[in-house]
Amino acid sequence: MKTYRLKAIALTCAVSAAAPAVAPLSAQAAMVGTEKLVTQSRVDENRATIDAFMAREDVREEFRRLGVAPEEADARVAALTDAEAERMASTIRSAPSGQGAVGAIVGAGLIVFLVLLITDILGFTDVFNFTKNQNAS
Amino acid sequence: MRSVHGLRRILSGARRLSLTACLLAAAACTATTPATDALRRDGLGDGTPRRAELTEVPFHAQTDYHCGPAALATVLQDAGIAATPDGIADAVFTPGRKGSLQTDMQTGARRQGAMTLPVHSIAEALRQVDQGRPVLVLQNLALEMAPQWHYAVLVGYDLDDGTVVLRSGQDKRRITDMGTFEHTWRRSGFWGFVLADPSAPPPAFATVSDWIGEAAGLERASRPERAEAAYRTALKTWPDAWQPWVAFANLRFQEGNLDSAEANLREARNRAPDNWIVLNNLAYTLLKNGKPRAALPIAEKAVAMADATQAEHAVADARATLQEIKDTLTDTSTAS
Repeated sequence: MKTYRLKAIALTCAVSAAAPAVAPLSAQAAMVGTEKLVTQSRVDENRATIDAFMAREDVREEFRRLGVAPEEADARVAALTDAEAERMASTIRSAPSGQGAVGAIVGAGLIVFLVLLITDILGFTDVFNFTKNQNAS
Repeated sequence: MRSVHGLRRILSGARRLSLTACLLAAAACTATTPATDALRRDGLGDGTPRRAELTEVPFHAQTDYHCGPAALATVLQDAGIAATPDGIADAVFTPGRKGSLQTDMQTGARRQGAMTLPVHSIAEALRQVDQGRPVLVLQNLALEMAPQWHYAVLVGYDLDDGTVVLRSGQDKRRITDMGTFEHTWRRSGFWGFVLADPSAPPPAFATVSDWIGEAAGLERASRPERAEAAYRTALKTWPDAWQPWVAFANLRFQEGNLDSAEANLREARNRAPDNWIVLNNLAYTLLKNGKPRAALPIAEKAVAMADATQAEHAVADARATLQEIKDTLTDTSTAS
């Protein structure tokens, strides 16, 4: 018991000591720093890379072949978080530009969809409606 | 009714479980070497040859647990920076862990004035070797549950033989099966990087954000002159990009050279007239340069553009700048 209490006290001390170091939530007038700029423009770049990829006719054809309407594929991609978009964009960028690569990349994109599907089923996310149908009643 | 519903739930739960199991099994089946297989079959594309080796890359045999300093010194020397494993050990080796942390490998390179650009796939790593850049990689040579972490430098590949060449440990030229390399590298999440010279043209895979982000790292590592060189390279490489101009302006602003900061930000605005960061920084610079009246409409537009991004922090930052400009104008009018 004693140890627990001590631990609790120690934890409180740590938290209160750390409190002043936490950045204030209210913004202040200032220059936006170079690192913050990078974070923001990287997000934009990733989305642009993915959009350009999804707009390619051979990619749309590949999705059709997989039984996914291109519009549906767009909707899935639009639902990616910034972190997921980052992963997908880097997959697209690191692939060779030849025709043969499209299937592999769409496959990698599908891995993201599979992750979403699995996390949906487990209840961590809520992207695919059909996994919830059984509980609808 | 209740029990039927309950049974249904159990059944649907079981169905979901089996679906999950199927997907996990499918994931397990992919624990082969897809990248190696695809590369050996299709090649690297873009006319990249099926084999290449950088024979000039130096070699440092590692001592004890010093694979980190040895690998980093190898790529640094290749980049023309005089560094030895012993000379950089203090910066990258952690005696208590008998190893080098990944972040220390990156900061260690930056402190020597080099930029580290992440390489996360075998295809890109091989392409970099073909373009003359050795790739520093982190491997796990053992198992996930009992890891044996190891830094090595990829210097060659042969798609027909299915092998790669590494500067590794005591071996100047360790030839490893490409599939094995894929496995051992995958266990680190394909963690690796190439070094880039701030004054030389960036590798093709680097985006302007990658480059500027790394250059900002050089500022953190107290190498502002190298950072500035990198920003200059960015201006040449991406002449239409707004980011390098803002980075320059930030440097000038920190030095107190507000006129130059303003000029750089106007260049940025010419390239991205609706970017809230550009507008916010221009407005703030004008304010600090004694031109609050000129700053006002720009700050107002910055707020509108920040609103459009739907990012809370952006809106808050832009509003704060606008408010300070308004306060300054009010104070001035009261005083006069």
